[in-house]
Formats: sequence, C-alpha cells, structure tokens
Amino acid sequence: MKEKDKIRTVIGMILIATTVAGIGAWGYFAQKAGRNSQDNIMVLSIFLSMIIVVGAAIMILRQRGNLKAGLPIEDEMSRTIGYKCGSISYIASIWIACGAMTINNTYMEITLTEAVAAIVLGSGLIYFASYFYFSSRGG
Amino acid sequence: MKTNIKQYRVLMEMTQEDLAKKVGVRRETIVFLEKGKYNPSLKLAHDVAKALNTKIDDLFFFEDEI
Repeated sequence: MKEKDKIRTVIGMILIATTVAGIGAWGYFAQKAGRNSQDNIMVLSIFLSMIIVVGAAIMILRQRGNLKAGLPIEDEMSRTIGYKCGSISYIASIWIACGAMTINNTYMEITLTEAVAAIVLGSGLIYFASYFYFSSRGG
Repeated sequence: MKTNIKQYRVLMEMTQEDLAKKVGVRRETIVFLEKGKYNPSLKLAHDVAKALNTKIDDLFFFEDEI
C-alpha cells in the first residue's frame, strides 16, 4: 500500500513538472511565432492552466506530507470529497458546453478548440475549487 | 453531530497522528472527525472506537440527544 502511494505521488509530481514545462514551452513558442490575434485568449488559458497546476501541486504536497508521516494518502473522507468534486465538475462541463453553444449561436463565433479548452479548463478549475472548499469543510 | 474523540484521545495520551496511524486514515480526517464536521461510515466509527478502547455510542452523539 505504502509503495503504491509513493509511486502515485511520484507520478503526480512528474505529471505536474511535465505540464508546467509544456505550458512554458507552449507560451514561449506561441510568443516567438508572433501570435497577435488571440493573445488575450492565450494568456487567459495559460493563466487558468497554471491555477489548475498549482491546485494539483498543493494536493500532491499534502499527500506527500501524509506519506512522510507514515499515513495513507487516500482514505474514506478524501474519496468522498473526490467523488463529490468529480460529479460537480462533470455537471459543470455539461453546462459550460451548453453555454459555449449558446454564445456561439448568439453573441460571437467560438471555434471547436476554444470550446473544448473552455470545457476542460472550466471543469478543471471547478474540480479544484470544490476540492479545496470541501477539504476545508470536512466533506 | 458532536464527538468525544478528542477527550478519549487525550485520555489515552495519543496525538492525532497516532490515532490516524492506528485507524489507517489521514490526519485531516481525524481533525474533522474531532470537530464533528465529518460524518464517518459505520466502519470508520467502529475503527476509531476500537482504537480508543470504547464504544461508538460513547464517541458520537447528536445535539438533540444531549
């Protein structure tokens, strides 16, 4: 169990490092390529991605603290919180998709990439927001 | 919901970490259990009661029972 927890934490750290490197490279090359038309959207999506990465890093650090103290990284309470946040972010992703469709048909044109980015980043943000909310309240 | 977990834990000279290790949960779970903010499953309540050498009835009670 402990070994499995250790592997999970290490994989989480590697994923976070890879994501940070990926976002950094994406921002660097996009800037180098001189993208101007979608600068605001790019900056916003990098910012939102970084918030998600910071949320994941805090989660991993908490798990590491428990692991160092010889405690499990997951238990009944954390699983309950995980299920709650998962279902909330799933419902949120459906509403974001509906919102994107409505905006596309009425106010402005949204590309498929932008819609998918909004769904992924939006549901990710809502997952971490609800995770920290429920974690501070005790589920 | 209110609990007597802290009183029993202190009586047994255990820290939250010791109790968490004995029950096999994270320390945060013990913190919220003591505050009465987390409703545990029957199994977890049983495990905590067993770790503190007492019964579930002595650990957990609702405010209307006081």
